[in-house]
Amino acid sequence: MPSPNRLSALLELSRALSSSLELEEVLEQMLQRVARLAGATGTAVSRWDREREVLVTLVHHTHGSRSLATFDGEEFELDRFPLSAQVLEKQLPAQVRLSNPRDDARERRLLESLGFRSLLMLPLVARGETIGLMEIADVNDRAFTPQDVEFCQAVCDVVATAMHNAMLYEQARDMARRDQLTGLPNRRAFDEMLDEHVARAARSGQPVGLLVIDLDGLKKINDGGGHTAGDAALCAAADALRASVRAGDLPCRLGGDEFAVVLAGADAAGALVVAERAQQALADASGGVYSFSGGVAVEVIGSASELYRLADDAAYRAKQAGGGRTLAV
Amino acid sequence: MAPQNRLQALFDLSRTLSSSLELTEVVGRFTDQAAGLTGATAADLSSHDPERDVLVQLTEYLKHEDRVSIPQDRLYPLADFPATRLVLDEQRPLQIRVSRPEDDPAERQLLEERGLQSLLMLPLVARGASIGLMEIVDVDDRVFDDHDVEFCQTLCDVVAAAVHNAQLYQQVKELALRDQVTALYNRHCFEEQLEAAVARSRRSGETLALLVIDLDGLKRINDLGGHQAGDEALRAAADALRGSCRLGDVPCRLGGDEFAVILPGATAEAATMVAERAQQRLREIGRGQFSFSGGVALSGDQLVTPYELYRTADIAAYRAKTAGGARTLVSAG
Repeated sequence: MPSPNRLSALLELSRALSSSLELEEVLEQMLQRVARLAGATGTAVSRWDREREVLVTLVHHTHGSRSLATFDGEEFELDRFPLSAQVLEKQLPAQVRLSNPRDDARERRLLESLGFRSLLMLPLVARGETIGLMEIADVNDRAFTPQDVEFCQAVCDVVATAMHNAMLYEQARDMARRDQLTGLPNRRAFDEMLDEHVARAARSGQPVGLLVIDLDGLKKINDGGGHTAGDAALCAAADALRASVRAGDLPCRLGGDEFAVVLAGADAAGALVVAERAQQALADASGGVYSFSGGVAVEVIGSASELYRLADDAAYRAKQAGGGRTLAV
Repeated sequence: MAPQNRLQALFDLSRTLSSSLELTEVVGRFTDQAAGLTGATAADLSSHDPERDVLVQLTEYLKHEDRVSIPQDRLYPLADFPATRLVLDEQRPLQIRVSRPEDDPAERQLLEERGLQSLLMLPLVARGASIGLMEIVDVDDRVFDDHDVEFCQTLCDVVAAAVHNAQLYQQVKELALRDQVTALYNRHCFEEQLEAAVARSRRSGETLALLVIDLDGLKRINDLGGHQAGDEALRAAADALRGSCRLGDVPCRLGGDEFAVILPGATAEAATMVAERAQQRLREIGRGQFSFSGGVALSGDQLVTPYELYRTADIAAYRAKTAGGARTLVSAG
């Protein structure tokens, strides 16, 4: 059993971590505590990406400097680090010491390059499944005692549960913001993003372009081939948009036959180029069967709903003019 | 309870509760351990709904059966329980004993009715807000001393965080089930609900009706007023449906101009009545501009699968549309 001090530290950690469901906040809370709790000089937490067989560093903390790398952390291929892979798969902790020539050579080299002499690796296990790795490192050559290891395992339990909850929450939130058919952000996400972009445009003076798109003849496609044909056409339109936007543009499905792309920093000409590319991609993908009517509006200062109304009007005029084209306001 | 054990108990509870994000599981796990943790007879949980100014009871200890139940839709208006409101507002614990005439009479009466003698009320506070109430109840007349209260407050911290996380999770999961324009259940959810309703009806032998609805002239509304006018019409239809359903009916938006209502236990007449009521409401909300074409099908020997039921109702709605719309037809099958 842990000592009363360690127990109250664990309880405090558990309470602190359960006070948020945002992964970044959970990691931040954890970071402030774990190295100190373990009496070590460095900590790192990684997520195990099973499909790609890599460890993605989420956060690490060394010598008082720290960095949160929640989204684009460094990746380590597990086939190059068999000891880490073993910790994850067997759910058992492992130690590496620079001074011990029998320990894994790659791990020792990595440790040395980071300025550490000892490392304790522990699996992060939530509801029976390994979700990641906790690394506790020390600049001194030390052996972690069985009591240290036991305590760190208890810490990992708490951290893994909180991380797992944050990941579930993130998944559920993502589901709520995605169109189930095409996988594009849905209207709820679109409304939020457009609001943000219009507000940012008003501050920065950079224009924000909006392309609104209506798939032509969806009703006819549905009537002819049933909902499966309609669904296929919608997915083709989504793919055409994805393939045609610039990095940073946000294609969304608003519902029914309607799509939109938020184009930060684009003027009307730039937005029209994206629209033409998408029109071409959709024609190519469908052997010339599918097309859309598009409308483009650009705004620097104004409201999101006004911008949407203008682009929607232009798309309507494109449809009235026979479809298969994009008009700017 | 010794301090060391209390610490261990709190830590164990914190781990147990945080290992689920499902509210019923979180509440259930706490309830299982509450008596052992507090040394009292039981501990009940309620959540606070500030908008409706009520407490929604999540668990209740039943003395006569010596068990904890999860009541459905049990609401306590805070206006009737000033002492409870004080606990929530000031985020301070409060004790009530039946034997103390100076304690709040409403609370004492409620305790007596339930065969209990003492009560310790504590606020569940998460991220600064009172999200609910923990009530430690005892069949004996007892005083909770300072150590008890302090321990229970820590207990509340642990429970509040877990309950709050479960509520947040439930909210975002719920969002994924809803159509964004009308906030009705979406197609994905409709399919799940219909399948469950058909299975239930087959087991119990109870009737099941399905109403499928097509808003009339949505294309024209969109063409004349843009998508915003179309959205308004869709929302009007959704409001009309919501306002016309019976308790237990499930209105959904399937996409485009199409809606459906699952009506467990309904006959063709009952389903038609819901449709007529909705038609009337939609006319009122839209000042005569909007109407729909509806089709009703009944689950039975001919219609066995959810898809058959849906197809049959959809065909009836299509016949209603070709007959000029603004009416509901019952499938002859």
